[in-house]
Amino acid sequence: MGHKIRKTHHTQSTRILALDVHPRSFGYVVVESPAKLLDWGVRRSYQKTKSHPEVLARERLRPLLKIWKPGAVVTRVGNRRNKDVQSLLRHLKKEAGATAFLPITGTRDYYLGRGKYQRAVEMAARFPEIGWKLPPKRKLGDSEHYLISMFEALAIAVQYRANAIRLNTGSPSSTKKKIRKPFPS
Amino acid sequence: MTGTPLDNYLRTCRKKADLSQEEASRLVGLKNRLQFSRYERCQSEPPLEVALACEQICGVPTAQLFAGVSTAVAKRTRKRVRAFERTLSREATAAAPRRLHRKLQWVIECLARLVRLIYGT
Repeated sequence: MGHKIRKTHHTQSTRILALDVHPRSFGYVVVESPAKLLDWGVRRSYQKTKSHPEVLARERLRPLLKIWKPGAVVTRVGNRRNKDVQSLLRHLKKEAGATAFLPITGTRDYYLGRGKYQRAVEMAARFPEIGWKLPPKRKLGDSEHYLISMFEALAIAVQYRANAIRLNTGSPSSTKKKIRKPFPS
Repeated sequence: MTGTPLDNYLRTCRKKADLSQEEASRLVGLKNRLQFSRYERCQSEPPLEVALACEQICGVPTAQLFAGVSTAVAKRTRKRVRAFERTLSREATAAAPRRLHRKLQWVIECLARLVRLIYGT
């Protein structure tokens, strides 16, 4: 099971901002120490122009970076071929600037046999402060609830934290670690 | 930047209680939400009365709620206590050695307390 994550010097005390990026919105969580949830939510661009990436990066992400001063901005890349998402990721990376912008990919257990909703349920159980925000399971034909994005960001943060601990402790599973190239800029 | 605590955790406490800025500002005795927003963004520091109200509402000690401010104050205080310790050491030859000894003992205890506050050990 290859955990594709760039090895960093970040310790458990690092404050991280995890993002779940969509073409016109992103869900975010700010996590500090092992399991201290600081902030959460979904930021959306309501503009009808084509400048969604710029608006999201400049007006939605910048205040978050200013308030929380994260040590790392983490997002899941996967096979995101959507041009809007790629453009948004580039803008977000530019905005994050000096803070490490770490794209991570999901592990096998992250994807196999477990859907987004199942992950959201797990996160809701683990973090009761936002558990009550869990939307009902959608039915066939319904579009995804926007808050699922927030739970997905939380899952990314938890995964990043778990990977970082594994790499820092140097357990056998970290010996085959691969350094992933960041997405094309 | 990364390992250091934030100036305050008001936003986290407010969101945990699911309060809006308007509601939270009313609860702590502010006239409107703008000032509370400034406190949250660490643009200004609340007066003692508001800080105590925040503690009572959030149920978190002020030192934890304003962790960054508390650490900064502790660092400044430690500097002053060290300077005081040096002054006392210089006066070691003066009269009343028992009183001096007591003061030095207190200084050591105080420094240990401040180190615990700063490094959280």
